[in-house]
Amino acid sequence: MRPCGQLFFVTVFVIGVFWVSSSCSNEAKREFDVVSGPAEQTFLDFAEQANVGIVFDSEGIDQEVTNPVKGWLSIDAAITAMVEDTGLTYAYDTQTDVISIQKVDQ
Amino acid sequence: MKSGKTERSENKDPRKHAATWVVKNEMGLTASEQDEFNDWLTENSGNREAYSSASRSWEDLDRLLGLQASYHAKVDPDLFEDNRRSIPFPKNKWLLVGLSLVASVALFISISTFLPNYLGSGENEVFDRSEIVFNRIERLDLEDGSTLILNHGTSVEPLYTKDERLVRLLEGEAIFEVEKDVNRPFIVEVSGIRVRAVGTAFNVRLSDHTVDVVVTEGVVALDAIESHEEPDPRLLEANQKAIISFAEDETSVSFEELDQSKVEAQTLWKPVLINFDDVPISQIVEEFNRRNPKQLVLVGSEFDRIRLTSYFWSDNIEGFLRLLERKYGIQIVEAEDEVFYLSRTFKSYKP
Repeated sequence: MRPCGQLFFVTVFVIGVFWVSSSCSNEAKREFDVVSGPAEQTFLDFAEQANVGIVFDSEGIDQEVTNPVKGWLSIDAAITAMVEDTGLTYAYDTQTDVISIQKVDQ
Repeated sequence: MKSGKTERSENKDPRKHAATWVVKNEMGLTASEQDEFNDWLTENSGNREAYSSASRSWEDLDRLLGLQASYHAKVDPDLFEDNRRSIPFPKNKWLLVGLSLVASVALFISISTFLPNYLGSGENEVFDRSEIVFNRIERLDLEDGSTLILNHGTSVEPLYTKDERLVRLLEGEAIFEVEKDVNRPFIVEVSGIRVRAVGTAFNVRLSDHTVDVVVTEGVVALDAIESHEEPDPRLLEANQKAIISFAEDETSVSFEELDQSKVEAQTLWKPVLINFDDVPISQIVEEFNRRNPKQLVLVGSEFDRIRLTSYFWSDNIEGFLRLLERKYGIQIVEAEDEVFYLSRTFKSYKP
């Protein structure tokens, strides 16, 4: 292996260590049990279980129906599963523990 | 046929064997390996030269370890000289991987330890909203299922044994939501007082000369530790409050009946999820102010035009302020200790 190959190895591991450490800090999992239902209620249950705030950025969101979520998941994974194929999307601010929900077409 | 040729060619290359023997020597040889190594060395001069070269290369690699944890260390300019090519890397690649890993971890620790200090050493600090940090109320789940909700500036020390669940309140205020276990009493020790509970919820606040105990659910018993004569053991029921005062040479206890509103006021700092359904910002601010020592002041009357539908935890002021800042262009200024002024920026507001 040539010197540039060794440097490549070192670089890959440095990046790997940074990536693993940052992933570990952001991917804490918790237990979720949110049934399918009208968004107004399901997001309230989700906020309770995730210890996050929810802000509705569009009108009429409360009439949408979200997917059920159950099991040990990261907050990101849980909210992704909840809104998948529902016409809703979200933005999660991990710094402030607040999730903004809006309709996909907006 | 092709693989056979390769094998024979490798067998003839003394550098491959030399590298193997260097590694084996480093790990320690058995008696039989020592004999085999001596035989190989004396076999011919090429083997001795190859071994000598590989040993030097190994020593050079050792110098790489010297880089660990030193942020200011400079890389040895000879480290990657051309004689590196004499190392039989294919056989030693896992060693190289290991060394690379060590170096990477050392580099990561060095950077994460020293870089923030270095960057933060400037004298001119620019005021930035991101520097205002509102810590949220901490929740501590204990192994028995009990939960401690710790107000700001609170310090506790759980000391669980098989006979009792002891928690020392060292400073501040906490709500204890206790899981029932008749065989293992839950005890909060604070300033020489023991608050004993079996399946209940209560709030204990330690300040300079007093301890306040408010029971929100069930029953607790107050006991004095040996060094204190007072208070006498006393049962405290839901909606009752005990105030234990410590003077220089005297401890006194008083009891108080509380109505539901007063009980709630005593535990108002406990985080709850609040549902704001299409309400003006001023109403949300009012609720945050009621539940937090940090106070928000709206400057201007335009805030009533902005309405919000949201679920907010009552201790997450930071999340609320950042939302106002980002979505509505509202500026936040820390006016004095624990008081924050909010003012509207018209040009960035798009209703």
